[in-house]
Amino acid sequence: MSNWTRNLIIVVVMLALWLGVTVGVVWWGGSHGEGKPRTAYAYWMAAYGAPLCYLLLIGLYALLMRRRRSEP
Amino acid sequence: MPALRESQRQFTRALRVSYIAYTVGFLALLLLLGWLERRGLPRQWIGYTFLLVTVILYASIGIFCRTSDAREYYVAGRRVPAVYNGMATAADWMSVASFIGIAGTLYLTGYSGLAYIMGWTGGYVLVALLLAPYLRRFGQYTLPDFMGARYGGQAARLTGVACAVLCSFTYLVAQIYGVGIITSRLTGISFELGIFVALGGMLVCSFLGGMRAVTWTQVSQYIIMLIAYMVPVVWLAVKHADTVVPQTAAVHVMSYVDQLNRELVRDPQEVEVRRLWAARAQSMQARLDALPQSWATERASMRKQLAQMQGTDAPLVDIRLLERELASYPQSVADAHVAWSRARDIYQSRASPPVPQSRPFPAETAQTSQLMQVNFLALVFCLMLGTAGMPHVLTRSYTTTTVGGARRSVFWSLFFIFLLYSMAPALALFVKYEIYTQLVGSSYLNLPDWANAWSAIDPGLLDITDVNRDGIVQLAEISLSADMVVLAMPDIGGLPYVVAALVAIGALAAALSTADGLLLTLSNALSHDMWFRLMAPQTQAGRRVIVSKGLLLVVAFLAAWIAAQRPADILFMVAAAFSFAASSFFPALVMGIFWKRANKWGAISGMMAGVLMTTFYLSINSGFVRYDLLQLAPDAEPFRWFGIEPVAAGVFGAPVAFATMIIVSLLTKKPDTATYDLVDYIRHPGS
Repeated sequence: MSNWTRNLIIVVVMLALWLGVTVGVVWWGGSHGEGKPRTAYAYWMAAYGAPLCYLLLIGLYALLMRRRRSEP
Repeated sequence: MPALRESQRQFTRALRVSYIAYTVGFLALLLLLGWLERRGLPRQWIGYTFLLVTVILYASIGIFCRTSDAREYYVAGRRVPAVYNGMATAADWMSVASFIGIAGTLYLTGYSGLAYIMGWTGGYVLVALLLAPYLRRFGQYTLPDFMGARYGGQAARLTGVACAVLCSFTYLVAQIYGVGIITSRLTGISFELGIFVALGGMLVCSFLGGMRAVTWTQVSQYIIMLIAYMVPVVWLAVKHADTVVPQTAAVHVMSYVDQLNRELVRDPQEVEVRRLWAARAQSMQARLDALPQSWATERASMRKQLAQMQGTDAPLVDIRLLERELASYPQSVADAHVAWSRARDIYQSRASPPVPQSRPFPAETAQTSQLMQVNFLALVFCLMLGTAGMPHVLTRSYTTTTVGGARRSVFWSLFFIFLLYSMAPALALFVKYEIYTQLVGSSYLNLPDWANAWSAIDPGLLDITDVNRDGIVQLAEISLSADMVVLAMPDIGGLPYVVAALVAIGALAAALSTADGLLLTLSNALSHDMWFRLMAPQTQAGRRVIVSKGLLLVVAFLAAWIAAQRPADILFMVAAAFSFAASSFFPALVMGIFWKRANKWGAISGMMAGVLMTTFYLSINSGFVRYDLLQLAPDAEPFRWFGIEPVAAGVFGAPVAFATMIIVSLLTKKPDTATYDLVDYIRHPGS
């Protein structure tokens, strides 16, 4: 498998996760907003959860690419 | 190579030392001013000192980093370490809209405002995965450079220039406008003068040192922004929840705010006030329906009423109110239509119950709730694609040392951006808590000082009117603009003035840093990509930088001039800029990297189709087109696809752009082998 193909696979998987997180948080917010008013999970998922996931994805990508390069 | 690496290491070490010293120095200044305030230093002086010190600081970095070397001027010598590049990108990115607007929007709209946080952070995933490393590998100076090299020919490059100008210029005007407001608020000078003072601070930096000076100024501006946001929020967190972590304090305060909100929705006095607003909205509607006759009859009846009141010793307040209304009475039937429609909308919005803070998509029916959800998602995606297509952010990937550095730099960018964004919900909640517990229910006779001060500046920022004449402040009687939530937060929370000045300085840093980045992108697109490539390709390297600087001045003054005219639809323009970026640059860049078959004609027609689509959706929904061109009735159904608001027009523009690119590319000739080689080169990880 060429470097480029492996990179593409990583990018596609990451993009799928990115899409999943975004749509998931919003969809889940719509269906679980009413649940427990004291905790406001949906709000904090969108405010903190989603951005943290994005940060994690970018960090993971940078790490994966760095490790791949140090391979022979 | 080892020597180079060693010098880079030394450079990084020197950077760390200077910025730590800088941060400590700034904190010391803050403490000193705080101490002086206690000893009785006048407020005006604190504002002036802060303004002077920071502007001089930015200017001296600009002078210190002055350069006429092209590599330094355009891409800061490509030796900015990832962490610092991340900080600079964060400052570049966070505009006045981020610094002031986000918390205000969260305050006013609750969950819906989170679309901005999700969209503006999620876009960086796209930057990291699809763009930044490849642009760095390509390693030229500007985005149109890439368009020109990848798609070949001047047409592609020029389309790139046009798109860069379209996205950046509107955004730049909005920044300068923000700077004008903040400086005039901070020091009391006039708005127009404020614009030009700030313009000076901005120009000295980007004009003298280009990207190099802008980069190092932006890092220092980020540090100020962070301190300015953090100090008051942490202060309020300690005050309200006994913790220094504002994020956890926010979770704690949220339940109180939600509880208070529910009580205020049911409170009989509140219901009464909202009913009164609804009645006002109805009477406005009645006036509107009776146009054009009502324009004359209404004025006559108001004059009669005034004469009557003056004759019968009516309360002075009422007479003043009526006098003011008559003085600002619309000049013509057309003016009346505009003014009264606006008044009706304002009354209507004030008649609606407070938005629940934490509940997603609050609506009466499931259908409306679903529509809100769709709109939320559409806005999130539009902002994400727009973020990934904003030229001033993307050019920052050119300045890192390596391709890997570009990837890490995006990580640090998002890290520093999120550091600030994660405090915005906390800030909005703390302000809401203060308003609900301190202002609501208090007497009109002893309103807090800040309430009087801010409503005196502009009733559009803060308006408190005793609608039901009971002498007690009801929530429905308070109208707060999103812009003032952050700026007035230190006053509202009862913090010392030095903190209020600090916040204003932070907002100024946010505006200046973004304006600097935009200014540079614009002038580079015009000089590097248009002037030298098309008009004067023989220009020598030294002269080129001079021409760039000249164009930079022209662009800056033009933008300042437009901002000084106080354009009405600033927010709309910013939203439009994102939609344009989403439907022009983003598709063209991504296709250029990931699809070799994409060719010149595909790219050009795709970008044009995307921009046209976005323009169409934005303009068909604007008042001008609807009422003046198409002569629609004022209450005609808005034009919507899938019920999506025009703010998110980019979600239609981007797919159209992608589709057009694919279809046209397949219908026209394959790109030549040189282009295939270029794409292979960009994709290769390299050193």
